[in-house]
Amino acid sequence: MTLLEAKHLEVGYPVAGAGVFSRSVTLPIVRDVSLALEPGRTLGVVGESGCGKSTLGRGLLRLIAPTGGQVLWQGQDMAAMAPEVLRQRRAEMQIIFQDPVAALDPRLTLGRIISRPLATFEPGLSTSDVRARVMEALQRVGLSEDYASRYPHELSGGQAQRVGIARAIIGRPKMIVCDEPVSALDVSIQAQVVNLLMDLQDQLGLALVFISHNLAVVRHISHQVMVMCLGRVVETAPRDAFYARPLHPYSRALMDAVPEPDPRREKGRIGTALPGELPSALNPPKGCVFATRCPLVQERCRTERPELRDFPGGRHAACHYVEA
Amino acid sequence: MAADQSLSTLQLQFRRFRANRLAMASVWVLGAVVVLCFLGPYAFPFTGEDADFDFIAAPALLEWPHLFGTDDFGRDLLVRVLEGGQVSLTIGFLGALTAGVIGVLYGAVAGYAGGRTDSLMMRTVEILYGFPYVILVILLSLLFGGGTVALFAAIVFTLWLTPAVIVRAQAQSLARREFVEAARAGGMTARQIVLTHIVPNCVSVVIVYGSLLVPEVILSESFLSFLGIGIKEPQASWGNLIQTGTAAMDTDLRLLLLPGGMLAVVLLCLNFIADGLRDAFDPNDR
Repeated sequence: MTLLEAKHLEVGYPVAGAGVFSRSVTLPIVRDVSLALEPGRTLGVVGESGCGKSTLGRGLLRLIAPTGGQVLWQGQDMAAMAPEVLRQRRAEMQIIFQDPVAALDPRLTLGRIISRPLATFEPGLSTSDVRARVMEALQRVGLSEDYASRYPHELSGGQAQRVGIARAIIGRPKMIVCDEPVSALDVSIQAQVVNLLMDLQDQLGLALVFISHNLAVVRHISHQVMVMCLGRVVETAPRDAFYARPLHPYSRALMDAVPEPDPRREKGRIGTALPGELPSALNPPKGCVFATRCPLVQERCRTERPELRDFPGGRHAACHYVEA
Repeated sequence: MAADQSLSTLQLQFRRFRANRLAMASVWVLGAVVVLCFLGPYAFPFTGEDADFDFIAAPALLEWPHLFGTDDFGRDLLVRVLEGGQVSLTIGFLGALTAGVIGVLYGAVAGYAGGRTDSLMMRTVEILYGFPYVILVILLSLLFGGGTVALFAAIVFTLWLTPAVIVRAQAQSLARREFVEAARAGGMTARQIVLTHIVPNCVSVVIVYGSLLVPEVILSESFLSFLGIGIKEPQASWGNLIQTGTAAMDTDLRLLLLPGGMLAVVLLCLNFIADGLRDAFDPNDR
């Protein structure tokens, strides 16, 4: 069964209206996003800063209540779940964060931080069982047992992220939303954390929603890739097909923007940065979200929004002109 | 840092506070004053309300039994000051504690809830801020028939507002932190989050403010007693002792100096302690 399904999801934040007494209006950050995630699979979500990737992740978990559309968790509408039921089922869906140190309460020991979800999800556990579960979680993320009595400020970023992962897996989840989990870490540590997530996925059968702007990391971990631009999905594709040849001009621009590790080859590439303005999310373009910056833009793109079209190989792209 | 033992931030802050000599000395002096006020009167064969007609308005000769002399009614000045200290210190610490607890909880709830609830709660605070203090005290004394309860209620009622505002600002920024989001993902209720994550993380700010709140309460009590609204004769408080002392200032300065000096010592100690706490909790210095 499909683990997580989103149908035309819209997530927004309230912003103050113009006058003092005017009602606040909702500013949609994520618009019309549909996706499906099978157990044990990884969906990579990529896009530039501010495109709504993180907001999508929180909307999927209902940490922010979506303003439109539906999220189905194992076929059940999350909006229809009673608050108490949803709280219990959060054991199955967890999240890890971009800033791993800020994700840990500085006043609590790591043992308390990691074990806290169990107090909600499995209140009947005895103290020694809780302790055993904490040790198991620590060991799974590759930290020794004596970390349980330490405090967050004693940790490096990579260690803190491991603790965040330990807290996420202690309730035995089926899915983890990873919100830019490695972008705050050193390059040498990034690979360790990504590999840890992949190992845990194998051992525990986790599904992952892996949000990142790092295309190389997404390529390493994902089965399916989804590209977002200004809150909308512009392309989805299986990993290998996507990296072999991205269809949407925005995806190609993202690929081109990846710096070349070889300085001799990097030299001639300056100038591939996109021209044009990033449109304001408050006032998105009427037509294609990428129209203001697209190198292939036509008149039609500015007035008519392209729908996601099917392409061979299970791919979808939202562009009027691109051909398979 | 020694790697042998893990220290919480609170333990680290406590350790830094202990390294501050002035603040630690103040803690000892303040402790001594408290012990003196609460145990001292038992050393004398009379209470502060007993008049000794053999020694009326006796001077401060440091002679037993009236070490600092007596007032116009023959009551021992030192004992009265110590007994007044009991009242003033009790009201000071209890008032600050009550006002602090109410303010912290209120501010934490408002800051975490945000949005409409927050606006409503903070507008209420602003309205209460605008309420004239002295009129409120007079109203409350009428309501409670004067005395300690009315004084206490009035002091708490006006002093919980500032900690509420301070904590609300802190709670608002904490509510956006990722560990709070993680707590919600971990299925914690709003109430649990406020009590386990928001309040403890506001404590350092509040402790500093609280240590300044104690002198504020003592001063308000003195001020109100001075106006004649607070503690009434024959019960002594530092406020009404100073008031009596001021009236006799031209002829006999010691009636003012003894209670005034005690108050000054306590206030100085509390300010040094507040300073030390602020330095110890300063995050820029971590």
